[in-house]
Amino acid sequence: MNATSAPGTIESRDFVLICRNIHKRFDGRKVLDDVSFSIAKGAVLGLLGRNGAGKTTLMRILVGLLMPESGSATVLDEPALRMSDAAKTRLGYVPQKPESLNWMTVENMLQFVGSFYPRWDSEYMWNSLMRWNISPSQRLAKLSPGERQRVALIRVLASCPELLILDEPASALDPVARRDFLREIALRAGEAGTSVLFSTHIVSDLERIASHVCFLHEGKLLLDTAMDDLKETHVRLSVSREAAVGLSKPLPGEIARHRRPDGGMSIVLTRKDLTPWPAAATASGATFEAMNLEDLFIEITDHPGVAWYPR
Amino acid sequence: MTRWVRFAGATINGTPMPLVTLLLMVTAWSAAAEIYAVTIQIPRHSEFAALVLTGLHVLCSWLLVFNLAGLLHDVQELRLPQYRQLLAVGLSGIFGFVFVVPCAIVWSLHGGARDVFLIAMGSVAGSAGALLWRLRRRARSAPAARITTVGLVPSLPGQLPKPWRAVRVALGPPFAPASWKRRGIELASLCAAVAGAPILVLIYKDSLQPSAFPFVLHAAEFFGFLAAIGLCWIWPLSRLLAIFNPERGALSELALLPGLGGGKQQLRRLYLVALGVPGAGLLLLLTGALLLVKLQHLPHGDYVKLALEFLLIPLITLPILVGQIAKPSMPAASSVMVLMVSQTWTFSILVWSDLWDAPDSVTLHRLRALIIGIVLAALIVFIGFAIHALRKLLQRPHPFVEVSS
Repeated sequence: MNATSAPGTIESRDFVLICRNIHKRFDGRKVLDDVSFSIAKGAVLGLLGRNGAGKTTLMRILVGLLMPESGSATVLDEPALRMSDAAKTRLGYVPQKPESLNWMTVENMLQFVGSFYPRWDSEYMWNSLMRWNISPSQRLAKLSPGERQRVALIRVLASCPELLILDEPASALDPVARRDFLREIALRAGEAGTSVLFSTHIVSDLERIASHVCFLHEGKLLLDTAMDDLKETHVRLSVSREAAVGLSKPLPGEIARHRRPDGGMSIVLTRKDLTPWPAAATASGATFEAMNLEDLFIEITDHPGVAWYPR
Repeated sequence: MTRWVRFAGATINGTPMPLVTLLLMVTAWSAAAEIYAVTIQIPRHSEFAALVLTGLHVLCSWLLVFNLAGLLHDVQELRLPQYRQLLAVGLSGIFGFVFVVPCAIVWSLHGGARDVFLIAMGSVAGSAGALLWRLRRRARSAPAARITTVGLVPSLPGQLPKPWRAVRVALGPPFAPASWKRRGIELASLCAAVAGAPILVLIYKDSLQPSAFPFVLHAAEFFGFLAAIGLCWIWPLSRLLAIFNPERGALSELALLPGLGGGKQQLRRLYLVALGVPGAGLLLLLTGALLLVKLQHLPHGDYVKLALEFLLIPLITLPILVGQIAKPSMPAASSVMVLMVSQTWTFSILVWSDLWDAPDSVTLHRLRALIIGIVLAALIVFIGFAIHALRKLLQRPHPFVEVSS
């Protein structure tokens, strides 16, 4: 099952998060443009995008901290803007820069927050503090950004949520902590069936744990697919200079194209349900190439849409 | 032997900052003592020089004790032999340099018993402050080993905190529940901030020119009043601005905590708590000010002026605050600055002007009417702005949801 199918086509009870046609502007500038996707139970969806792509805005809308201009977000079967207490106990959210309650010590904050959650795992909390070498008596305001992010992750994971929404959770972590964190996420998703949505611009993180991937670029969702299908459904077509002359119109399933320095052309193609690739793509002088996630991300976000045609 | 070498090496090759600080401290102290020595030769001299020397001495004592305590702590950690002897030498040094020598110098300069007492009190205050500061730092950097002893005992999830209490905790100080001891210290600090400067002026009344005394007293009262407004009114409100600053994501923690009720409930609780504390602080200040008017046997008109002044404070501050919460147009620090500046211009000059006590005349009557008109017009603009901002806030489905774009 595709965790990120078009909303409305599959019954909503299969999904822990559904967002439909979300639009958002800041000071007249379009930040999110008709974004729709959904997350199935137990799926790990990586939201990949460059800086300023709209990831944080989208996540704030999804947890009900920001009101979209149009469209809706449903989290754990409830509207994001009016979540009940029951839904909140099942949701965990880590903002990009966790800064609240920073007048408290680590221990006080975790115990205070923990008292709100019926399934709070104190043992996990203490073990994680010890493993990540964080002093519980330290004031949050005095912690480094990386330590603060670790504390925020401990807080959210100790509440044993069913849905985790993490805004660039590993950006301030050192490699060891990042590996630990990714392992923990994979474990939660695999064993406890926790669904995860996390944004990042570190492709390797996503490749390690994500079951699905979305590309957000300039407020638009350019790609929404399962990681396993990625190599079968997306290829780069390299066309020689001579063959490129005949490809002035966009090919079926074309996502992006750009001219290479040698005069040839690179075209990124996608297909659904393993339908054959377009005939023009099999012409002489054209070669197929499977793409990894990073290549695909660069091709799409660097040249979104059919932006350039040869004269 | 190796330990001694290491210790000596670290001392010699270490940062020169302590040495430079010590040198500056001794120089500054000597200069202040010199000024003091000259000043006390003048007949009917003021107490200013003694106060400056005492102030400087508090700082010097603080620095000396703080650094010596740090050094002793390091020595203890190095496990040097003869630690007890070193400790004894250190304590004797502190006692000698901080208490005995300064008092002896002041005494030898023919300073009065009161000045010697002042210097001794300065030593006590500085030393106590330094030791408390050290203890605080040590408590904060407590070893993580505490996890292994206390932490690993899994704590059972307690009862759900009461929503009112949770909102107070989430807002942080000064809203968060605190011990009576802490509240006592806060109240004492407030009293010191409000009454400290005027009391000093009253104590040294004899040293001042009779004509300058009322002006200095009023200036001291004004600064005391500003400090009090800052502590009781602006500080709690600035916390609110920091909480509502969307750039900091501080809202997410509060908004997503379960058990705090629906949006409207949270909104009501949040605003009642957030405005209740500064409101109570303002009332406390008003009571103190009324008491002062009564003690000074000031005319009845001053009660009205005082009430008017305290009424104007929220009328000016709240529109700015609500506007910044509804649609933040500047960083939180700038907003706090604007709030504070708004307090220094609370129509005080107009309220306390002699204009209202002067005998009636047609010109004066017109001038008064004009001033009242201007003030009312300004207030109408402020209130209109506040209503507009409040309407925007009430449109939010949840107090923490940001709808402005």
